[in-house]
Amino acid sequence: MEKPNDSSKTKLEDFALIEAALAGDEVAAGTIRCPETNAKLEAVLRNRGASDTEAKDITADLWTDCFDSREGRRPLLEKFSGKGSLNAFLTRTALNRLIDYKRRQKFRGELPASQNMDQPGDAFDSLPGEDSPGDSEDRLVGLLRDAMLAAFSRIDPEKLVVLKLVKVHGLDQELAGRMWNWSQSKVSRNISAVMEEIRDATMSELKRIDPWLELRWEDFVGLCKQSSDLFS
Amino acid sequence: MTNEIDILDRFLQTFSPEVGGRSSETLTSEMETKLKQLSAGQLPDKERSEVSRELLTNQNAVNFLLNQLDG
Repeated sequence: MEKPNDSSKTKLEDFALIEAALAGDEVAAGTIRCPETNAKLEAVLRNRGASDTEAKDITADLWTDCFDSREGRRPLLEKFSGKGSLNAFLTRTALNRLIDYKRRQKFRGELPASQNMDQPGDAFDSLPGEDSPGDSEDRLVGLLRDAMLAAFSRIDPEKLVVLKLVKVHGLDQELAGRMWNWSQSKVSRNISAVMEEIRDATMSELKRIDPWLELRWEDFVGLCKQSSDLFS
Repeated sequence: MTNEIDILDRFLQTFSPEVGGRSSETLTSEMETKLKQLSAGQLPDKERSEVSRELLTNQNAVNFLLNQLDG
């Protein structure tokens, strides 16, 4: 009999936990909402630029939405697809909410004073064009994509295509050099230089879009990989 | 070692296919000629930019070029 690998075993455990928790099993709910996961979520948010209060508030709201079905919305946990772990799902959702929160905060700061005196959660939240919190799940993908597209648009297409032919399509550097009449060492230098350009331009664009966001290049690449794994 | 550009490319193909190289527009005979020239290292400098843009957005162009190199 084929044994499930660690990943599929974890997913089965995640689904079983969610099902039990949503059916009212307090132990299952407590396992999902354990102090360790709570602390981890808060830490991720703080590391990405949230204040301590913001991290605690966003995490607390997230837990509420995980289990509650208010105002006709489904519990958040019902949206867990099984692609990736439950912890990854919770972390992404928390990050999406942080992005959403910070952008609303910035938008609120830009409103005229007469419109800026309302309390959070009132008419401000229903301004035309504002999504409900339940619709905020893909903010992260949008941010990563916009930053990368802006970065790529600044790169010389010739240099970018040589990089892709070699690194994505596996073309030999010497062969690429022959097509462009470049030496192999020039191809190699070009690849390193373009990767650096992409890295710098992407990070600069991220700062332009969301100046509060604390993200290293390694985090950016990791989130891109996770996003592709989750949604493709 | 992680191939970062591979990860970024896959991301763009998933979330921005129109610029991720997933377009499958038919190649014009003029573009095929230019790709053949490129594969032979004979494409004039001034035409490389246009061909590069095609290669970045049209998977058919990449496949055609790679086939030329295989042949």
